[in-house]
Amino acid sequence: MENSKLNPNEESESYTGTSVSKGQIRRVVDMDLRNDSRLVLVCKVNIEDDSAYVTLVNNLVEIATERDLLLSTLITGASFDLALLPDFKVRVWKEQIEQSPIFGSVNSKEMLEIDNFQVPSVLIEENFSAQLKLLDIGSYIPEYGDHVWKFRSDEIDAITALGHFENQQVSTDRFLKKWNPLLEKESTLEVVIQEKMDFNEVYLYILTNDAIRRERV
Amino acid sequence: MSKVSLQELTDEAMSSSGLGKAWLQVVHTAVKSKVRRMPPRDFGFQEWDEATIEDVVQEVFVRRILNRGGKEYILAEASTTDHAHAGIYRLVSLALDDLREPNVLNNIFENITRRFNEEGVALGSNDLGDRQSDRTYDEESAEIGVKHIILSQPRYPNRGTQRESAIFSPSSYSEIVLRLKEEIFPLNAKVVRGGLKRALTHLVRAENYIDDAHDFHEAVAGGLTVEDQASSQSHIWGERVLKQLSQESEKVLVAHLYGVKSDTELARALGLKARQTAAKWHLAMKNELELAFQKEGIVPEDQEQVVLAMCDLLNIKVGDIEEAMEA
Repeated sequence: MENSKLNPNEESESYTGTSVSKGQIRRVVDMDLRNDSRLVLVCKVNIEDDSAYVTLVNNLVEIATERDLLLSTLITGASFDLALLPDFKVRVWKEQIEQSPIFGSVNSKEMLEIDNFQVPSVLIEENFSAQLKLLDIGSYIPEYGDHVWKFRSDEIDAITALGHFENQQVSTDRFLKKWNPLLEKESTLEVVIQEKMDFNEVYLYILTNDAIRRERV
Repeated sequence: MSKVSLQELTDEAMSSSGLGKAWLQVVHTAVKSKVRRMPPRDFGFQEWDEATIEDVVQEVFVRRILNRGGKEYILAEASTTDHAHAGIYRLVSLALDDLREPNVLNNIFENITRRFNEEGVALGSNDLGDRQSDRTYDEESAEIGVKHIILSQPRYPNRGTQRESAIFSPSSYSEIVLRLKEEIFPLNAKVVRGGLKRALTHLVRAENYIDDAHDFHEAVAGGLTVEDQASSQSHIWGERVLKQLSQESEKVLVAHLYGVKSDTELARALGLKARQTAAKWHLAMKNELELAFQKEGIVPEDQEQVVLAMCDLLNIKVGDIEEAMEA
């Protein structure tokens, strides 16, 4: 095995598309093609099980509310202005993203602001735009019975349909599969089984295991 | 006419000759399907015919597909043919709202101007600020203030086929005029129109362009489906019943169809100060509705379908019509 495969910041060898990393604007597809795809901003990549947390974006900037952030073409380099909807965040597998081109990307400064943006409670009236220095928030004010509510709930359904809930078993399976070459070493696998380690414990164990250290050397 | 596939749209967009037959076909179908339910005068036309529809198609291309990354967005987001078509339908709606907005702006501006005139205030002049001549002029801030005042008012849902939505109730207009006088400086036609434009960019659009599923499915079927034709009688009745409702009753009906049940909720939704007024309007609506059903000879077993048709005409998606009717 090459050393690079041991670096948690590297892509898994099973993927052939463009690597997925934080800040990219990509398309998420349903691998079963049962649901419509959506454009998203990649907010976090989990190397352990090759999943990513993504947030929905769309081009309907006119109905972006004060809970949403505006990503202009100047910020993303995309061909179109986008609204980022921080309420609409899901976890997807990288296989769902990697075949998509990169339509734009948000640099680390703006990503930091996005990471730190606290989507306010609907019950609290405060000026949350004060949190922002580099990005703008939407200015649409939906009212009672506004069609925007239905649109937003439809979009929540759409993005949720593309996502996967946290599932320790599935993540561990993916983790084991990805790290299989290492785990094939009998001693590592035995320890994992005997100790009934959970996903995080296995990951930590592997990173501190002698076998890995040897591989790295 | 076969349905244009995503691949065809993509190939055409990537070709050196640019957009052509495939995109034109989808946009043309979308425009035809959408404008059919909209009054031509809102777009500056006397009637809908091939020539005016062609004009709108061109506007859609210029305003939304070739500019603002419209084409690129469709191709970026869509992974299926249906999805691409739905995206194009949305761009068509956006473009139609671009075209419609100036007319709505004029209507509301005229309404506000008339109310000022009734109070002996000429909005056209710039003299309104003289009483506070020590304050500095900042028209941009004033326009933003106007926008906030306008956006703070409750709005009617769009009435779809009937006519352009009034957007605001008379009481909202009164509130707008009152607050404009109290809070905005300098208060002149330019500021009010500017603020209104800023607000309308949000107001006019949302109700139309995010509810295009109905049009989309209709267009996919290539026009009216058999079911649509069967329900056309209900729509005719629905239109007739709606015409017989007073403005207040229509607002109450809309609120009920959106799920407002109690008179207290109704008062809040309609911006009424007293629950008793809401109760009075509610009762009046029921009576008017009943009378209209009787007058049109709509028997009880058809009434639910007619209410559904009315929802469609009012662009309302309703979960439980029966509950609303019982209320």
